[in-house]
Amino acid sequence: MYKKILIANRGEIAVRIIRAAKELGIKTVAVYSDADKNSLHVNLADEAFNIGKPLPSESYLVGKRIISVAKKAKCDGIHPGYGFLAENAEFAEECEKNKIDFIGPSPEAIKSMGDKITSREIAKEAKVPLVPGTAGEVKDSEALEIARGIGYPLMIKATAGGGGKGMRLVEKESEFENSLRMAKSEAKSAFNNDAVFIERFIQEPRHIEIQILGDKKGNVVHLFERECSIQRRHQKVVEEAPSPGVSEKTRIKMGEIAVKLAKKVSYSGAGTVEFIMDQKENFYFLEMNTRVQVEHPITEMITGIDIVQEMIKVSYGHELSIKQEDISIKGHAIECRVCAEDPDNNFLPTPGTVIYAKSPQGPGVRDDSSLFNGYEVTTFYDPMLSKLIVWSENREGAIKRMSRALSEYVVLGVKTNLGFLVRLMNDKDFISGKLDTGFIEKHKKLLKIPKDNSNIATIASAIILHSGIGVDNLKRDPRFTPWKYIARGSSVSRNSMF
Amino acid sequence: MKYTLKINKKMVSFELLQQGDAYEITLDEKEYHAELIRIDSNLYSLIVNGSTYTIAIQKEGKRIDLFFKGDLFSYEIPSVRDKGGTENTSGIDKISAPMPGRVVKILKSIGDIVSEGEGVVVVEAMKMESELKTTIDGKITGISVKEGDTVDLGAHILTVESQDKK
Repeated sequence: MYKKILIANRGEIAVRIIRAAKELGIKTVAVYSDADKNSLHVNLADEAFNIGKPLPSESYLVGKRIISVAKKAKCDGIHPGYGFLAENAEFAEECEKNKIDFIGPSPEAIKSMGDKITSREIAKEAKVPLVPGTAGEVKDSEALEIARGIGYPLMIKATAGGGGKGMRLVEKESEFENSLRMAKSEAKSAFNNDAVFIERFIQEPRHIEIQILGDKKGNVVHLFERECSIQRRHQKVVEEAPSPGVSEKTRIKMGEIAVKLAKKVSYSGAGTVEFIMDQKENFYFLEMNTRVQVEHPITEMITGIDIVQEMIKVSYGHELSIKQEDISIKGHAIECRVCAEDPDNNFLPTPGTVIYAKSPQGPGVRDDSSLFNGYEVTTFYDPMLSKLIVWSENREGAIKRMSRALSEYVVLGVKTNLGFLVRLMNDKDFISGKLDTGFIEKHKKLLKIPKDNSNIATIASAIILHSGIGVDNLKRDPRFTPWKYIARGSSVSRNSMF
Repeated sequence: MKYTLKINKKMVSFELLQQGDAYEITLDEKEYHAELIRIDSNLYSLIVNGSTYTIAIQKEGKRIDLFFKGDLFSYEIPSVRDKGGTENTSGIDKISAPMPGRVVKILKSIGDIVSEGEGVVVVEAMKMESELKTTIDGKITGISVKEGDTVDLGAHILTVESQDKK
């Protein structure tokens, strides 16, 4: 097994990898930017090295510097985590050249699956379902005929596109010619290129992904699906496994397809095949992530497999310790990404200092976090503070447990999305399991603080203010002990955040 | 007493009446009977009309952060001199021991004029000395301890009264 690995990342994922390595008896080396000197990952690792300024491009993205630290510290492996250099094929190649294992897939697999067009071609060859449409530009003369073949509703998109420009939703054939003309002229003025392609429009799509694990001996297994349809700013915020919208039949089919695709590129390590699925369980390949995923813990919770440890073992050359027939789903897991952001202000990040943090405990609760009192939320990095994960025997139990755990969480100093997440867990539509990627857009009332809660806050503020002496000297009952507090809880009706 | 406060950038008005340890608060024409009790450094138990709520509170300079059911409520403590917005307070600052300890030094005498933020007494607890400060401008009107006394948590130490004519 590896003697010592370097973790080329920060935050909770660096902590997660350090923990996995320690449990495997591997020494760990952390790297950190000037902004992260006091971070948890630096504290937990056996060794830590500064690699530069806070900007990622001057520290965590400087592959050369990271490799030279790894050589100096005599590491035999580098785990890239997610983000930063995790899907950078050149970095993986550089590692190999320096005789340090890149703990992840081969550079070739990263290259072929990382590129949208190449990966789409590979998927097509492997007969993986793709969203019906033209991969490339359509000629005006053929467009209507092609559209008929794809079926309505459909999307016209600029090939050079982005940001919704040159994009048109067409509900029926009578609108097609007009929409095509408008999309093209928009594309022309936005990108100086009027080429467009046509794709079927998936109504109320769900984001479903399959976790896979492969070794260097050609074995690939899948660890079932995760549903990640609750998104804001096109980024996931709540994930669960298994999906409440995937039947057993679809689950098996999706898993088999993901394994087939991974085998096609001789995939080793952890990876995720992402699909878009309509409400009738028709699913289509979206892309593959060639790294460990933020939401991997929920799969660990329902399968009992430590994905990060498996990654390290297969990278070293071990055969996968599990066979497909040995893997089954037990119970239900949900993950909430606790972020320093303001749901009531377009989920914009809220940089600042976390003055006080208290994470939840109790049965079935896991908090993958790098949070501590004094943690700085900077604009340099992702505003995610923690991943709160719960497991229960079924979905209903998991939702209740998540709601309970979320309401034990305390973060003072910066605004977070905790209140929103609590409300989401108690929303009847979320509980019913009818999810799609537009869920938050359709449930905007969840973004607002309910009046009853503001009133409680105002009452508390009134007392603090009247005591005239601020919080520090607020009267404490000397006879008061936590035991009395717990006892009183059972004697009066209780509505606390605990 | 009537108050106006800006919480999360929204103005709220309420009326408050102290009755011993409890308070009668009128908010949006509704009355609430409330009591706030400290559990540990940041956690408080709020009892409103018989229901209990747990609230986390942190003071950072003049800003109070209050956390309830996942949401953060922030406001600035209005200064006593700040006549806009708030018809402040009782005008009395009763300073009491924040934890059991020993009075090391009394920095002021009865009749001294002090201003907000000024240290008035030094207490030692858990081998650390800390200076207790007044939060209002006023005159020292009472001192209940002498140097060297041991004090229990919550014991009265000193009173400052505002000299503003009401």
